[in-house]
Amino acid sequence: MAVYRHHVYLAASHMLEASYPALKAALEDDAWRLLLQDFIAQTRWDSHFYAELTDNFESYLVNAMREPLLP
Amino acid sequence: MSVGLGYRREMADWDLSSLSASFFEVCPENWIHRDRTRLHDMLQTGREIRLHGVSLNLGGESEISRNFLRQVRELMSELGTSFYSDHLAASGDAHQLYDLFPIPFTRAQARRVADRIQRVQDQLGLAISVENSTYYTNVGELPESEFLQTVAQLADCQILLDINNVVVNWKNHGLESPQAYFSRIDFSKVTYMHVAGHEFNPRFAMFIDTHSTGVEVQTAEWTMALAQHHSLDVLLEWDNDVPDVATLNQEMMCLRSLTTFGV
Repeated sequence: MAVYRHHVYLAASHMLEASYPALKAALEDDAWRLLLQDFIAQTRWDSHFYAELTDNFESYLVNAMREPLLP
Repeated sequence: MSVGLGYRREMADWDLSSLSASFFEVCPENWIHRDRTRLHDMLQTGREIRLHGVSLNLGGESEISRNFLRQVRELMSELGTSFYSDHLAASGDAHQLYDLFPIPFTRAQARRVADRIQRVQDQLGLAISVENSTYYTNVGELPESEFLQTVAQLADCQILLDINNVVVNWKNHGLESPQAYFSRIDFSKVTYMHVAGHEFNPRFAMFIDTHSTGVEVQTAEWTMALAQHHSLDVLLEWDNDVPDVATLNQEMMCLRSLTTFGV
């Protein structure tokens, strides 16, 4: 249901916006949204500690940068 | 009967003595791995701290981490509190989503979740409180209040009654009026109550439990009447768009003024 998809996105975006303000500022709104949506879709995290979402995000970014660029 | 406040990271630089809260509530998940000087500063002001968690996943299927419960128990001892609550909801099994998903309101689910709560209580060595949550869709044969009551009875746990959530669910689904809901609750099981604000979201055509605004007048009146009648504490949650100290104090004062004692 759309409202739950929205809430899962908000939970991730609140933490990551607060933790990576420079990255957020450097990206267009659409690019930031696509990045977060892909992070949520590609990542499984199970920590009880919300703040540790940043560890998952950094691992995701490292992996994403290893992948070849699309033509 | 007193009025407390949910502590948020936006308050990190505030002078704690300027807040009129009679007690504070914090999220254990935000503090277990962090420096807790601020919490001890709070205790130094003479006010107690209660724990209100978000990640226990009582409604989920996956095993609840014994290590996490041990850490919560240690934090309770450190802060000298006997209050620990989490939500009557699921937050994800393989994937912790930091959000609250509804449990179907059925007798079978009530039994299953009550068993999970009992295991948590056995490990902690104390009774926890479960909070009624907002839901944006759900199924099941029981009214929400009966589901909550059944779980609390089967698990022999307590209830953290969130009045705002009762109101939001009523506005969204129209299934159980707040008065009917309250009449079915055994208040001897209620530890204290939560109030917060909610907002209408036109995108979803629903009222969302945003905790981003003041408490609706009717919600505040119901809450404080129940607080007075049953001698229960009330906690104000204002978690998003956190206002300044004066606004929070004003909101707490308004709540207190709704009792005949004006405590």
